[in-house]
Amino acid sequence: MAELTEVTQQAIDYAQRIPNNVDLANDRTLQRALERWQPAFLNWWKDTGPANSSALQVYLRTAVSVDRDGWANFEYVRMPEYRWGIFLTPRDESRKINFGDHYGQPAWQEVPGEYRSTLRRIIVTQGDTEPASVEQQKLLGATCPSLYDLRNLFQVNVEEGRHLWAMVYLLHRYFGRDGREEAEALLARRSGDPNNPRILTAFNEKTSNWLAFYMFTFFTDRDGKFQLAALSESGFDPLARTTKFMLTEEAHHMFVGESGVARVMQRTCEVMRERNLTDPSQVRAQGVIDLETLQRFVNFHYSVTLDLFGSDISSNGASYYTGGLKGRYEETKIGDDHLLVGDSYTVQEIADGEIVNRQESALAALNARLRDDYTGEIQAGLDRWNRIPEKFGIPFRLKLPHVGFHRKIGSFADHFVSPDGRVLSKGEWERQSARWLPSEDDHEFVGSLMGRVIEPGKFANWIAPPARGINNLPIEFEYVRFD
Amino acid sequence: MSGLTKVGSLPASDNSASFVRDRLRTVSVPARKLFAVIVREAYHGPIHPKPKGTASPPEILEACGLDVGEFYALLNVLRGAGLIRVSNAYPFEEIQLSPEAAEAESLAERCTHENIPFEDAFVKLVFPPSKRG
Repeated sequence: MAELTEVTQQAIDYAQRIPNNVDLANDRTLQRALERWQPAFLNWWKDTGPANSSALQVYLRTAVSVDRDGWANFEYVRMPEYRWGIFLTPRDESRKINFGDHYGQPAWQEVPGEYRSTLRRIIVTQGDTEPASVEQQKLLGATCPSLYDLRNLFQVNVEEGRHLWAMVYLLHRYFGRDGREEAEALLARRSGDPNNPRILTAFNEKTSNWLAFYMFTFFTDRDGKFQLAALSESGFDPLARTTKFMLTEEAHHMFVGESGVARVMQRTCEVMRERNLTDPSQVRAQGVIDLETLQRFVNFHYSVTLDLFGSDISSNGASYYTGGLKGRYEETKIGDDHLLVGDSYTVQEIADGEIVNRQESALAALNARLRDDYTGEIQAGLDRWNRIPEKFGIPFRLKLPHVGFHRKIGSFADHFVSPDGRVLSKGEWERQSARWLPSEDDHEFVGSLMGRVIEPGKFANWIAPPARGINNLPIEFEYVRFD
Repeated sequence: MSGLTKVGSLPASDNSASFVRDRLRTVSVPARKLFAVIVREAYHGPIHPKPKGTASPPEILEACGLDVGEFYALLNVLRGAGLIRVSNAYPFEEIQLSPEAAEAESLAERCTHENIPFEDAFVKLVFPPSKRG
């Protein structure tokens, strides 16, 4: 607590301690709000951030500005001393609202009264996911497959923390007392806490092993990307500018996930080819993760992430759009009237025991559209992963399950759909679903592989090393120092 | 901008950047930005524990924050324009300038020497004049 008390009592050099481009040094209201919130944030980090990591020196990238030279500054940092900054992309004075009822009007620099509570809810929901993922990944450091991967985990963690700061900045700066209370509540909720859980269900699940971490950063962080991209189109300009910069960091998180799974597949395929193995149990016996298990993890993480997009048909989604609060993915690149009144969009649902297409109001189907954009990108990622078994001459390809598979939210909730899109009875589902989703045995097996590897340049047996290290450094570099 | 020469007014005798310039003109601004990052990481990164002239996806992505899917799409554009070569299979690709585009290295050195941002040359296509005599 001594360190925290010191923070509150000293005059803070804001530019140095909190890198920012929001003129924090001259904003007394914001300073006062942050002087109260920052110690609480550090307490939250201490309680729920990466376990046993406070003394570690981690080779991290810190953003000190939004320009080219300011985005990627690398240095050893103890994570509690990481400089969580507040950055918005530079303001475009001529920016207009690009969709909805306010189309063509100047973008808002302050919160419009009529949208105040809706915008606050959007920001809080987005903000709640940021600390949640840090909490979910709290224990992963104890089983890291290498120093390189441990560093990447910590980089993701501190940047999720920074994204929380980004949302809290908006709450403090634009929402007054209500915003300050919401900012405090963001630090009070806890992932998985039955009494005070995180807002979205997927953010209350544990990320219990590194395969789940890579899948999470590939699948679920990509949901974050699409939500942020839709918010970066917002008519509320500070939200748009904040989320644009967050997307830069989010992109790297997804790379950590994509390359992580790719390295797992690479290692598995190497072993299968070297020893001429095809049977999953024989593959497992070599201490690597069989491709069938990877498929089940894909099925799980993809389907639970689809639920994060909300109901296919959503009046909230429509009102966010018509209000100019949340656009479509790459709204300004779409060549239509950006009003969508009278337009339609194809959605899928179950009717008479079959999956059918139905035309729905494009406004009401915005969640489904964003989800479909997401699926397109995910499929491209799977296509890249599938180059690996192809390269080794192994006739296995990962496949995305049907959009209706294993859904809890939307038109497929309460139905039973196989990965290849067949509608099943409950009994059929119960008999077969263990083949499609990770079982207790799968989790136990994957968990059994997780042992801590912290010797520089060494990697766990179940994952291939990367080709290169961080920031041009060799993979033998000591990315995390334990002294 | 002092010390820079606009592309259109580049002296006819100055062919040093002609291939790079001409090919960059055919690709989008995001592709040019990626090319600038590749040049920087391949030749001008902070540390060189690797074959000079080679960059890899992790360092490029960490340097520029580009989305992975967009990165691979733009990489194909640059490859199609003959500006880069990609060896080794996914996910361990190594990216090098094509022999025809190797002049980008000297161009980058001139930018560094003249304290001119790479983006002026490789994105805005405003090149520093070459040294003569």
